[in-house]
Amino acid sequence: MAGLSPVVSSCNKRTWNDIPGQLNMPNARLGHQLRESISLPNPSKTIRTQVLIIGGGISGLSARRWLQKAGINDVWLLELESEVGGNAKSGSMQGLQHPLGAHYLPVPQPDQPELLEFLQEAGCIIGHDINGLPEYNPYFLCHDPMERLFLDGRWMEGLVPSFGLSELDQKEFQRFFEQMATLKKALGQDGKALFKFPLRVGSRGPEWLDLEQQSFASWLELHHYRSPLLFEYLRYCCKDDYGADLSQVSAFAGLHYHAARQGKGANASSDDVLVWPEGNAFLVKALMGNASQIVTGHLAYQLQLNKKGVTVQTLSANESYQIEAQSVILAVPASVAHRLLQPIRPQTPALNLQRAPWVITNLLIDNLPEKGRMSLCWDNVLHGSESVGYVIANHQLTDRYKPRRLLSHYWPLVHENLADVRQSLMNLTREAWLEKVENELKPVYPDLRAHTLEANVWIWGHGMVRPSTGLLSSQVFMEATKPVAGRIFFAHTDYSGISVFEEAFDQGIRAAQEVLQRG
Amino acid sequence: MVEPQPKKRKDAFSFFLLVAVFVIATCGLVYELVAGALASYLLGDSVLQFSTVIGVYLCAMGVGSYLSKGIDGDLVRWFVRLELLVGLVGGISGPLLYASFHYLNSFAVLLYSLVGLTGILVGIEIPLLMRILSDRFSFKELVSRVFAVDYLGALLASLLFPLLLVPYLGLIRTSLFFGLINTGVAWWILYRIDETRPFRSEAVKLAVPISLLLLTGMVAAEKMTAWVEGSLYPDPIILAKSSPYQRVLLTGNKKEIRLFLNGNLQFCSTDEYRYHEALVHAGMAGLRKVENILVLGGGDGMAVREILRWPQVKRIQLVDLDSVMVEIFRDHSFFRTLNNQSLKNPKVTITHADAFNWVRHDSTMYDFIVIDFPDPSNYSLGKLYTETFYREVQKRLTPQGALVVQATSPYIARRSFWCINTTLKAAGLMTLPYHCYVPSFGEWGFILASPAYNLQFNLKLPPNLRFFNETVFRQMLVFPLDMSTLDVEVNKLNNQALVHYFEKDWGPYNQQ
Repeated sequence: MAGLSPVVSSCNKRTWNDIPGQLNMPNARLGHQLRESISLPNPSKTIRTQVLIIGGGISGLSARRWLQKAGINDVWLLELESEVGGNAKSGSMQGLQHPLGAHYLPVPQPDQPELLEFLQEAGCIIGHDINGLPEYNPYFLCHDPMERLFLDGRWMEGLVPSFGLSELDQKEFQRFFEQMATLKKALGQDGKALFKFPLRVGSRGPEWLDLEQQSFASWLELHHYRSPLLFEYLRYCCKDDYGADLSQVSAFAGLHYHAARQGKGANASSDDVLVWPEGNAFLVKALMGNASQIVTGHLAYQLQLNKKGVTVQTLSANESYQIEAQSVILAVPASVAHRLLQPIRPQTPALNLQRAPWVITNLLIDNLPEKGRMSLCWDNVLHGSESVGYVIANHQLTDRYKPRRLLSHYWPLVHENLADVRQSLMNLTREAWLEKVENELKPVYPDLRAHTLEANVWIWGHGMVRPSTGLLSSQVFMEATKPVAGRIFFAHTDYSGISVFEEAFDQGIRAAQEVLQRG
Repeated sequence: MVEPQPKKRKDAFSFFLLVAVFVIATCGLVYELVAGALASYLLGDSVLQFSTVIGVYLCAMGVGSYLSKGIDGDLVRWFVRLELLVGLVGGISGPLLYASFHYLNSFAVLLYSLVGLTGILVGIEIPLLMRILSDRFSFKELVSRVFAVDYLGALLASLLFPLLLVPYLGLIRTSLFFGLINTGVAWWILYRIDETRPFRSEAVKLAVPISLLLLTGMVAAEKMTAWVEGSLYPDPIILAKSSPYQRVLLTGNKKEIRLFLNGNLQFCSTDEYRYHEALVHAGMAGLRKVENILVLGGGDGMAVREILRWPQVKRIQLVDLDSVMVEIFRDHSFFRTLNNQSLKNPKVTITHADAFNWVRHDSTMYDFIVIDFPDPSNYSLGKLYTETFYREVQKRLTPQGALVVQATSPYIARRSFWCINTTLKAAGLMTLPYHCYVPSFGEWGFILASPAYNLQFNLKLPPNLRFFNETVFRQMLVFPLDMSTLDVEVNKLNNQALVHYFEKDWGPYNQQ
C-alpha cells in the first residue's frame, strides 16, 4: 500500500490547470463595439431583400422558417456569432457532443399544431396513433432512468424527494400537486386557459393579473406553504426555468412551470422530455434548413427608416454591408433592439428586464465512479445546491458501455445585483470556476478531478429573461412588440417573459405573421 | 563404556535422515501433482499438462543432482537450508499459481519456473543426504535404503493426493501444508540432531519466518481464495479474465465447466446443450430458408455450434462486444473444444461491436437472428430488450425470417419473461414463447418472433441432437399456470419497464 500512495497523492495534486479546456463566452468583443461607437468602415457590399432578420437565435430562425413556408424566400438573416442558434449552442469533446445552453424540450401539448408540425419535420415525431396523438421518436424521448435527487447522502429517483419527508412535507407536496392539477384546467374570466404555451394565447383576465402582480414567494405564503423540502424543490424549478429565486418571479410564472406542462403523446406523457446529446442545437439545425442567405459574424449597428423600408448597416471583423430591406425583424434581446432604435424612436422607454447569467461547465469524465444503487440518470440534482445540477450529455446514446461520460453542469446565478455578478464573471478564471463546481459535487464525486479528461466553461452573461413580478402586465412590456412604422418587427423571448424554446419558436411565428399581414 | 553411546546416536541420526528422505519424496511429488492439476484446470488437456509438468520436474531433479556436487562444507547445514527452501518454494507454489489465473499469458512461465525450481531443490537433497550418510552405511546398503524410502514416499503421495488432500484440503492448502511438513523436517533435524548445534540459531532465523508465512497461508487460504476471486464459486476457478466490459470467469470440476459473466452463470457444460439446442433449433426448423444467420451476443460460440449443424447455412455473423470472450472460446485450445471449434469455422464472421449501434448501421438481411444477451439486470442491458431495439432488429430480417430471444426464466422472472413477449409484439412481431428445463438454470424461457411466423416444422432437424425434437418442442409451448402469461408493460427506452420487473422478480433471490 505504501507503494501506491505516491501515485494517488500525485493524482490529487493535479490542479484544474493541468486539465485541458477553455473558458468561453458569446462574442462579447464585437457586441461591445456597439456601445463604444468606434469609427466604422464604408459598406463594401449592398444587399437588397424583402425581409431582413437580425438575430439568429430560435426566434429569428423560427421567423425565417415561417416566412419561407409562406413562400417568401427573399429573406436574409444576420447573426453576430459565428454560428446561429443563440442560447441553443453546442460543443464537443473528443467526439462527444454536449450542450452549451438550452438542451431539452418537454413533450408539448397536443394543441400546439405549429410546434408539432415542426417536430415532425425535425424527425422528433414519427407518426400518430389512432387518437391522433403524436408518436415521438424513441431515440429522442429521454431514456430511463431520467432524473434523480441527492438528499441526505443518498440518491433517489425523481426530483421530488421520496425519502426522509416529514408528515408536513408529505402533506404539502400532495396539496401543492393537487392544486397544480386544478390549475392545469383553470380558465380565466375571458374563457381562456390560465396556464398555456405560448403565453400570449393564455388568459389575460383578473385572475391572471392577480397572479402576475404578486411574487411566487408571497403566493406560497398566502397559501400557507411551509415545508422546507417543498420550498427547496420549487426554488430548484424557478432556477431551472427562470434563473431566479422564488421572490424574483411572479406567482404566475412560478405556477406556469408546473401548471402549463400538459404534454401528451402516443408514447409520452407530460413528464417526458425530448433530449439530444447536442441539446437544442439539434432543433436549431432543423429550424435552419438550408443555410443560404445567412450572414454570420455580422453586427447590425445602425437602422434607418427610408421610404421603401429600412436601411441597415452591418459590421464584421473585416467588412461592412449595407442592407436595404422592406421589413426588418429584430430577433435580438430587447436591450439591443432598444439601442438600435434609439435614433428612430427616442421617446420609447426601455423594457426594464432582468436577465439571469448562467455558467455551463462541461466535463469529460473517464470512468465516473458512482456510489449507491440508484443509477446515473440524464438529470442529476443535488438537493440544496446553488446550481441546478448536471445532465449526462451522452445519456441518449445507445451504447451499452460508456466508459466516458460527458457531464454538463448548469449554474444560474440567482443574485439581485446582476451588474456586479456580470462584472465578476468577466474576471472569472476557468480554474476558479472549476474548483467551485468541484466543491459542489464533492458529496457525490469526491475525486472528480482525478477522473476529468477535459473541462470547458461557458459563460452566458445575459442568459435568460426573468419573469419578474408585474413585468408581463406592465404597459411597456405589453406594447413592446408593436411594430415600428409598419416596417420593424420584434421577436424574442424577452417579449414573452419566459426564455424557453416554445416561446422563442412562437415569437418568430408571430413576428413573421405580422410581416406577412403587412404584405 | 564410550562405544555404545555414539553407536546409538549414530543409529538415531541415520533413522531421522531416512525419515527425512521419505518425507521429502512425498512432498516433492505432491508439489508436482498440485502443479499438474492446476495446469490442467487452466490450460486444459490434462494428459499433456501432467506429462510436461512431470517431465520438467524430473529433468530439474536431474539438474539438481548434478549441481549437488558443487556443494561442500557442512553438509547437514546445507541440508537444513535446502529443506527450508523447498518448504518455502513448494509451499507457496499453489497459492502463487492460483493467484496468477488472472494473467493467462504469464501463467505458463510461472508454472514451469516453480516446477523447475522445486525440482532442482529436491534434486539436490537426495545426493546430499546420501553423502551425509555415506560414512554410516556401506554403499550397497545406502543406495538400497535411500531409494526404497524415496519410492515409498512417492507412493504415499500419489495415494494421498487424490483420496485425501484434494477433497479435504483443496489445492492451495495442500501445497501450503506440505511446505509446512518440509519445514517441520528442518525443525526436527535442528532440535534432534546434535550436529546442527553450531548453526541452530542461524537456521532458526530462516525457519521462523518461512513457517509463519506458510501457517498464515494455511489459515487464510479460504480468505485468499475469496480475495483472488472476489466471491466464492462452488468449484475451483480455472480461468478468470477481466475485459473492459465484464469479468469472465470459468470454473471446473471433474464433471463440468461453468462460465460466469460478472458472477452470473451463463452455461454449465453438462447441460448447456439443452439451452442451446432449444435456443437455435426451434427457429431454424420453422423456417424455409436458413442461409444467412445473425447471432447477437453468444461469444461463447455454443449457439454458433448448433447453427453449424445445419448444412444449409452459408454465413453466420456473430456480434459480441467482448473480444476477451471470443479469444477464450476461439483461440484457447481447451475451451474451444466445448463449442466444437465453431468460432474457427470459415462460415463465421466475428465482429466486436455494440449490438444496438451495430444493428442500426448494418444493411444485410438475415433469415434467422439469435439474440442471446445476458439477462436485463441493468439499464444498459435493458436497452437491448426494448421495442426500439426489436424494431431495428426487425429491419434486418427477411420477410419470411424469424428471430429468437433468450428471455430469462418464466418461472422465477415471470413478469420479465412476459414483458419481453409483450415488447416483441409491440414491435409488430408475432411471437411464440416456449420454455424448457435446464438443470443448472431451472425453467428457462425463449421467444420466437417473426413478422409472419408459421409454426411448421418445415425443415428436417439435423442428426445427433441430444435434447430437441418436434415432440419435445410441442411440450415446450405449454405454459403451466404458475408460468402463464401476465398483463405487463411494453419495455421502452423511456420506461425501462423490464429492468424494473427483473429487479423485482430476482430481487428476493439475490438478497440471499
